[in-house]
Amino acid sequence: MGFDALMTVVVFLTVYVCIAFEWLDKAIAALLGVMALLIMGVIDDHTAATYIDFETIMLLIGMMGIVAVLKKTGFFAMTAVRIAKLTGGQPLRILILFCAATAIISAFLDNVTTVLIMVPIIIELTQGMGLDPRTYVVALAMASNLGGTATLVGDPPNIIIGSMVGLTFNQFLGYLLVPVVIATLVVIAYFRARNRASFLPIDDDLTKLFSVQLLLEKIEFDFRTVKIDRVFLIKSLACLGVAILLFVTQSVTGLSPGVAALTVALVLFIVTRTEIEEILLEIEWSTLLFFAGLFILVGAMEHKGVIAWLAHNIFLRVGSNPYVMTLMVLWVSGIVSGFMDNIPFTITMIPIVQTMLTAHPVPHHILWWALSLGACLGGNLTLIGASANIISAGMLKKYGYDISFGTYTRQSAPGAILSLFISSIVLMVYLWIFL
Amino acid sequence: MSTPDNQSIYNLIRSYMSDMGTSRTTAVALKSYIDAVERLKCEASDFKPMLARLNTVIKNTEPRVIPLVHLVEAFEADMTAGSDLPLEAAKQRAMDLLNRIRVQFQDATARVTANCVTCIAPGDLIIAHLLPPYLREALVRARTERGHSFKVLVVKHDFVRTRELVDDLKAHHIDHLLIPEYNLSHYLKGPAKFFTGAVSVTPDNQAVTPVGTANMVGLCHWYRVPVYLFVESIKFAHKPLADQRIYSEAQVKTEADVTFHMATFSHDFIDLAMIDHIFTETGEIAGRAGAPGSPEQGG
Repeated sequence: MGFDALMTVVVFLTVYVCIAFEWLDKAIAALLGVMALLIMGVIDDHTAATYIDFETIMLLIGMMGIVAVLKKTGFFAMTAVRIAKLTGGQPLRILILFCAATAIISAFLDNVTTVLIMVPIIIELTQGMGLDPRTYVVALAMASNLGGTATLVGDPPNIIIGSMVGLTFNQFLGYLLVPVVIATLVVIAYFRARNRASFLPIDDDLTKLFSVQLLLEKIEFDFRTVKIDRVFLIKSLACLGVAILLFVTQSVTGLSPGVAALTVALVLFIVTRTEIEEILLEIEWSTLLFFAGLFILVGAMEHKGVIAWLAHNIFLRVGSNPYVMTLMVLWVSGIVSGFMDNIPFTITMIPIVQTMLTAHPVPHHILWWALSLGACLGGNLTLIGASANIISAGMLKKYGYDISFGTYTRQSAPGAILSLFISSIVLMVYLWIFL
Repeated sequence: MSTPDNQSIYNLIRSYMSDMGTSRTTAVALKSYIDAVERLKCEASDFKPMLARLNTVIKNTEPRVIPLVHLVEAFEADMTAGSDLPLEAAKQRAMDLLNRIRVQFQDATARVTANCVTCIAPGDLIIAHLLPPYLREALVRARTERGHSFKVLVVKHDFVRTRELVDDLKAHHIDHLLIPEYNLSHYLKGPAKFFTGAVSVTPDNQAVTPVGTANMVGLCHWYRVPVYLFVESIKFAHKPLADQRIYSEAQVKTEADVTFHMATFSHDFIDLAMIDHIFTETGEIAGRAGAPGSPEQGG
């Protein structure tokens, strides 16, 4: 490696450390890294701009815009209240229905938005019943990360993989739905087995039943104070439906998910007469800048030969056996994502996996599915593994329930390891079928 | 008797009363009681002890919801008859009794509303703070059924209830003005009437009311603005103010780098000497230190 490559590695590692130890805001750290490379003349500004994957950025802006409008409709609150009524206050039904709904919503919308809507309702419901909400909230955050893994738009690592590699919405759904559904069911069963006493039925206790009925009435009353504009709601849901339809029919229309999402979002702003300034406030600009900065840093590493060096000297040393390659990508991604942000990790891994595939091709994009499953499901390992976990713990604290890193991890890690095992089995079966 | 279950119920009831007022809380609690009995699965021998336990919890909420206490006592008395029924028959009997009590309570509330309508005259300026739903309905009926033109001065309180009141007034084209509580004195020099409800009225001539009401009543009394209290007679408690279990909470708060201890109470109390007119479902019963505790008046 030459001087430029060495400087790129030093800058990249410094940025990683700053992000991992939260010394600097993620976006600022990534952009400072880019500025350092530009000032040192390792890359020039025109080349840097070409490293940014605008397909990913467009998809993120489009989905953030659609979610921002949908949040205003009261649709999410309405869904959460309906689910609360459906549970009848039965602890096991609360766990199953809320986890299932969270997983489904997370498959199409971002995980943080989903937990922001679901967690307060589940805390109020369980707290009002005298149950400890922590178990339910951890399960909900896990379901959100699991559900997000199933589709191209569900979780940032998938958006990145889909956009940079050119995989379609249907391909993601086709290969990842099975492991995600099995893993979600197993995780729910694990939570039930681990906290059996918390999920006993309440039908034999009149005071508890009274408390639950009162609580359900209260949740419904609170919801009635939320005003719902039906026309606005229908327009917004119709646009979300069109976006999903365009994702599913990508191979027919030829429209990339980024173009589809951003076009639908713009149409949605027009038909709902939404003030653009209002929407711009809802877009997570720091996340987008973080993505842009990382794309440039990883692009520079790739351009300077660092990625090829990493791939040849570390990942390709495991040999050419597709089973071993798949398991290594899955588990390395899973474990690393449990302790650090899975976005920079995924962006770094993409060129590495591409190099591995060039050297030893693996059919049906199995290595990409391994990277997606590892990066997304690994987020469930610890409290800091995913944004949804951190947000959920923050909301618990707001309601007076502290949850430490250790307590969270003790609840979530076995479920995360189980889901990685299930993913391993499903990927092995895929390989066995396709090889 | 304080268990996590009881505390959850007390918190919920308090939250309901703060958002919806006592009458609606009573109605919702009775509906929840009926639904809970319907869902209950237990041995026949466990049914009565469970009813007794729940009744005790309901009668000891903080603060006591007096109409609910009276209704549960009536329910207990009625349930003692027919104690040897099989489980399903006993459950059905309990649900029927609770339903009957609920209907009776709703009838009484409707009659209070009707009496409130008669107190509204054309050209009135009605001061409203935390009006319970049955008094909001009275304003609407005075406008829509009687065609009276009057103005409502809405004293801003919490988001939910103030919004409900303003929404109702807007929907029925009732002239109104929203003001902050600290500006009320500017509107008390002219003719006006202050309308309020109460959680309970005690035999020692006190009314337990939502927070903030005592300040309003004190100010109205000072400026000789007549204060109208509308309550169902079922809200007359049989125990004095000290036994109403008004919930108090001491908190340590930090604001703008200053940490301090703050004590709050869930409800106010008002001496009936400051109330000019008291209306129940039977009409006006007393004003200015009338004796609500007397048996003729529902106590």
